Parts: sequence; C-alpha cells; structure tokens
Amino acid sequence: MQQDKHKDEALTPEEKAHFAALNRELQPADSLEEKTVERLKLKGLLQPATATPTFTLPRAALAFAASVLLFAIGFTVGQRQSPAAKPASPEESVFVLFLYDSPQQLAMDQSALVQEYGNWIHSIGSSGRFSGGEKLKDGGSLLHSENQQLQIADASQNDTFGPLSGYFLIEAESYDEALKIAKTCPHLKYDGRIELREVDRL
Amino acid sequence: MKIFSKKTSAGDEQVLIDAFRKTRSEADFRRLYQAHTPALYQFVMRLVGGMVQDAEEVVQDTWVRAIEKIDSFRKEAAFRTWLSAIAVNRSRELYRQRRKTASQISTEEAVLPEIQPPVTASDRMDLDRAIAALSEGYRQVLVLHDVEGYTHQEISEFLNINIGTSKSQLFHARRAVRKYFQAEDI
Repeated sequence: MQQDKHKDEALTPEEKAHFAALNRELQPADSLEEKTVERLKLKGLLQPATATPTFTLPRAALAFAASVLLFAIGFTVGQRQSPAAKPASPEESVFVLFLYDSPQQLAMDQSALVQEYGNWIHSIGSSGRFSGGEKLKDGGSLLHSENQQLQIADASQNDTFGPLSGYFLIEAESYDEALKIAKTCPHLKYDGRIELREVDRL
Repeated sequence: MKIFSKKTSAGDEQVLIDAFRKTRSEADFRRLYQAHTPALYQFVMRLVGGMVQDAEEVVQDTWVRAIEKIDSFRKEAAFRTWLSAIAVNRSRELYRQRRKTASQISTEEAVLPEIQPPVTASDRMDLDRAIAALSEGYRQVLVLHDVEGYTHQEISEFLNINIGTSKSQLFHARRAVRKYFQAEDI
C-alpha cells in the first residue's frame, strides 16, 4: 500500500521541466585538477611525467614546481622564477641540497609541506638563487658490490639519514652563502636532514 | 538526463580508460579527469548540498579511489555510474564522520529539517536551494533519481538500501521540495 502511494507522487510535467532546467554550468575550479593530480602522485598512483636525460635546469625547476603544486599557491615558476633558473654565472657555483625525510615529515599533511616549500622556493627564486629540483618517488634500490657479488637493498631502509626524498639546486657565490641559504630551508624545521654539496665542474 | 554521457560516448570513455590503464601517466589521467569531472562535480555539489569545500573533497577522494581500483572496473558497467557510486559512498562517509563529530542523530530516519521559505522570486525558482535544504538521505535519493535519472534498483545498490526505502525517501523528498515551493503560494 505504501509503495502504491509513493507511485502516485510522480513528478508533474512542470516539475520535470524544473529539474531539466537545473543549472548544469557549475564548473570545478582549475585548482581541483592540480590538487587531485598531486594527491595521486603522493600515493604513487601516477607515473611521473616523461623525463629525458637532457633535463635542463629551467625544466627541472618547472618539473619540481609541478610536483609540489606551486599552482595552488598562486604563482608559476615559469613566470616568477625564470630569472632564477638561468645557468650559473662564472662567479657562481651550483650546490645541491639532498633532502632526507624524518619520520615526522613522513607522517605530516603533505599539502601543508607543499605550501611551505613552495614559499621557500619563491623566496630564494626571487633573489636569483634557485636553479631547480625534483621530488623523488618513494622506494628505490641501493646497489653495491660485496666480494664481487652485486647486492641490491631497499633504499628506504637507509636508517642513517631517513629516505632520500628529493633535491634542490641552488646557486651561490661561495659555500658559506649556500650554507646560509640551506639553513633557511623548511626541511630542517621538521627534523629532516639536508646534505649540502657543491657541484664539481670538471 | 544522464549527463555524463552527453560529452563522452561509451567508446571514447573506454579508450581513455584503456589508455590510462596502460600508461598510468599523468597526461592520460588528466584526459580522463577532464572528460568526467565537470559532470561528476555537478553531481557531487548537489549531493553535498552546494558546499564547495565538501564537493572538492569528495571529488578528489572519488578519483583517488577510482584510480586505486581501476583494474577492477568492468567494461560492461558505465564508468560514470561507477564513479557516481564511489562519490555517493564517499559523501555518505563524510556526513557520517561529521555526525560522529557533532554527535548528531542519523538523518536516515530524521524528520525534515526546517526549510527556510523562499524570499524573492528568483529564490522561489531556485530548485537547487530546495534540494540543498533536504536532509542527507532525502537529498541523495532525489538527486540520484530526479536529477541524474537513476532507477530505484540502481539507487538501492548505490546506497545499500532496499527499493522500498528508495521510493519512500523519494516520496518524502519530493513532498519537501513541493512544500518549499508552495511556501510562498507558488
């Protein structure tokens, strides 16, 4: 009986017209696509964008920017950091900051870190010191030879520094200046480790 | 009324899915995302009563779950139906979490919330507002049936309820919407 009663409550033609006329133009914000892609990347559900061995510094900077979702904080590296992505001048040296994650960082909300790192990149980019960087996917292997036998271990088991999660390339006139810049990196704030090395231009 | 199919034919849809399954690339995901998200977003927006932040959360979660399980997607099902089912489940979980946090009672059998009567002519015509004002259970069934065009059989599977409950929820939801429009002698 109850079901029969419900059947009698069909929509009138006028009501159907109202439903048909509902606004279909609601569009998601562009940033939603970037946020979704970033989440999928963080979960390792997307293959990284095609990389070529001849990655130039500006392209590396752009690739990193995409990986940390700089779009979400309202700027693009291409527009605002291109002066920083130039090759180092003869007086400037290139330094690499290897980033090792702490357990604290691994457990943190990645979107908050993304924003913080993005702000830092912008701050050093505006002074012409940022050259590029990449976020690394989780996992990887550690290869070495022992008694002429190749040994392959899980790189994430590196219990000395924590997993290597990425790197930044910066330009500075001296090691001291590079060290000053490295000290400001938000990676240190959460017990992460940074190994600072100068590129040896042979 | 099944709006997903307006822009993407079943053939195109399968090509995009197969391409993504093969490469798992960002580019192929973006193509899949762009083909389905406008309609998915509209659907979810109505499901969550027009809350943009909730809609964005549900859409993101829907894609994450869909990509996690894309290998289990069967070709005989429509991808949009599959996505919708995930979105419905995620939005229900979201409300469940909220209710738990706020120690609110379940809306499944709740009486209708007070619906603010329309105040202007344009408001009176705003069916979206009336839908948004419904309780969660009524809103889900009304959106699925009257806006998206799903059958009671499909809705019962989405929401894990029996067909009679689906019909009953729709009956009450329509009555509430009519009441909303009649509130100012429309």
